[in-house]
Amino acid sequence: MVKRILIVEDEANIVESLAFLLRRDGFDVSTIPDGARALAEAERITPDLMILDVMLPNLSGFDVLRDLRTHGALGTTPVMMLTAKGQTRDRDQAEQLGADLFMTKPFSNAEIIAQARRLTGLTP
Amino acid sequence: MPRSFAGLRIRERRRTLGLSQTALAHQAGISPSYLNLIEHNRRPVAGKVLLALARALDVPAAALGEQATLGLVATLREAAADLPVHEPETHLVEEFVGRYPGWARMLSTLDRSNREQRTTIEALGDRLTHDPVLQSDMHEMLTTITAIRSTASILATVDDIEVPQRQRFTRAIHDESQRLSEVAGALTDYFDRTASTDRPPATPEEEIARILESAGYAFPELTDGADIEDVLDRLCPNAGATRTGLQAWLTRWLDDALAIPDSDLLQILAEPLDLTAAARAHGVTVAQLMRRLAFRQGDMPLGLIEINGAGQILLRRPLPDWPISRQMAACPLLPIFDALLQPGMTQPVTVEMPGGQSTLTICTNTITPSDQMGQRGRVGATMLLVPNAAQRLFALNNVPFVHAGPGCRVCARTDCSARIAEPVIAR
Repeated sequence: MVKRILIVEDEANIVESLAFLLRRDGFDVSTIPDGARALAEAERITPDLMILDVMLPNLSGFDVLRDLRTHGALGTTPVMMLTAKGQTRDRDQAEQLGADLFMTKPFSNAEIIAQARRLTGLTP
Repeated sequence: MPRSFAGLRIRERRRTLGLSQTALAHQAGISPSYLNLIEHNRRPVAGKVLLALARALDVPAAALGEQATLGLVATLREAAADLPVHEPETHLVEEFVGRYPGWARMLSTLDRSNREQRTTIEALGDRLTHDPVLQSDMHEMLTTITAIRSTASILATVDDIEVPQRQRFTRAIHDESQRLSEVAGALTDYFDRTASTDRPPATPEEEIARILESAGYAFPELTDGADIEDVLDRLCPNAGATRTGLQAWLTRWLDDALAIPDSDLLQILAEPLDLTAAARAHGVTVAQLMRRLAFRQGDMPLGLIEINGAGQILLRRPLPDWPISRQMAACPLLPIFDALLQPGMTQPVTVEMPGGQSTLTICTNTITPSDQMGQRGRVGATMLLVPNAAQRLFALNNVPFVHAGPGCRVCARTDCSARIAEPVIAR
C-alpha cells in the first residue's frame, strides 16, 4: 500500500524538490504552504508521515504539532520537523511536543528519503 | 581609614619645580614648619591653604586635594581585584596615587578603556546570538541554501527528469541564487552600517573621513567664493587635528577645482576618457584629474585611494563594494603598490576580489617635488576605483586583471603566495 506524506512548508522550491524526491521513491505526496490549514489537510488525507517546517505563515510548526498530538485520530502520526534554526532550544521544544525527528536545514536528499522510509515503516 | 596623600603630592610637585619648603611656604603665606607637617600628612590641608599652595605650585587645587585622588584609588583597587594574577601591591595604592598621579591616571584610563571594550565585545556577542535582523537573514540564507542544495543534488544524480520538470528545477536554482545574493548583500550592508555608525570616530583621520562622506566629498561653495574658514566653521568648529587636516583637504580640493573647473570637467566627461591625454590637454597631473573625478558632485561616484611611498593610505573615497578600511593592512597585490615602482606610468587594471566581484582601477605614480634644494621629493601613488556602471566613461581596451583581496586578516583566498597573516575567521 502506498504511503502518504503531507509536506507543510511555505518555501516553494524546497517543496518542489522534496515532493519530486518522495514521489520518485513511491510516496503519495500532498503539500500545504500554511500552518493554519495543515490540520484540516491532515484530516482529509490522513498521512503516514507529516514533514513539518517550524517557521510557517499564520501558525508555527510547533503549534501545528501541538494541535496534532491532541487530535484523537491523528495524534500518533509520525512527524519529521524541518528548521533552519539548529538551536538546542528549538530541538528541545520539538522533542517535548512529540516530534519523531528533527532535521536541520540544509539537509541531504538521501537522509530525507532514508528517514521518510523509516518513519513510515518501510524500512526498520 | 585611608592615609592622606595630598601631602605627598604637594611634596612631589614642589620637588619637580625645584622649590625649597621655605620658598613654597613663603609663596603660600604659611610657615615652613606647617608646610613640613602638611607634606608628611600630619596636618590636613583644605580651603584657603590648599588654594594658596595650588596657586604657588601652578596646578589646579583639585589635582592636590583628596577628592580627585579618592576616585583614582577606588578605580585602581577595582583594577587590581580584576587582575590578581599580577599580585599588585594594593596596600601601597594610596601612596602610588599620591606620588605618581600621572601614572595612576594613565592606569585608570587604561582600565576604563579595557572595561568599555569588554562591554562592547559582550554586546557584539549578544547581537550575534540575539539580533533579530541577523537571525532572520541567517534563517533566509539557510533556507535558500537548502533549496539550492536539494535541487542541484537532484539535477546531478537523477538522469530521467522530464524537460518541463528539469526547467523548473533550473529556474528554481537561478531564483534561489539571486535571493541568496540579495540576502548576503543585505547582511554585508547591515554589518557595514552598524560598524560605521555605532562607534564614535577613534582618530582625526576617521572623523575627517566621516565629515567628507556626509558632505559628499564636494564643496562647490568654495569655487563660488566662500571662505575656507567659514566652511571649516560649519564642518568642524573646534580647533584641533581634525580641523587642521580638513583645512589641508579643502585647500587641495579648491586648488584642483580651480585647475579643472566644472565646465572643463563636463567637457572631459563628454567623450570616452583617456586620463593621460585629458590631463596633458588641461595642464594638470593625472592624479589631480583623478581626484577631481572622485571628489565631485554627481550621480556616479568613483572611488579613490592615495598612498605614500610607504604604502600608507593617505586619502580615500571608498566605494560601497570596495572593502578597504584605513586601519586595515591592504593587500600587496593591489595594483596601486605596483604603481609606486612605475614613475610616469598610468595603468588600468581590473581587480578581482575573492568573492568574485571585480572593479576597474586606474593607477598612477605621483611625485611631489621638494621645494628646497638638496631635499628629496615624495613618491606616492593614486588609484581611481571605477564601478561597473561608470566604466563607459573611459576609453579602455584589453585591460589586464589581477586577483587581490581585502587584506590577509579578512581574505578568504587560500592559495595566495602573498599571504603574511592567517585570516581571523579560519575556514
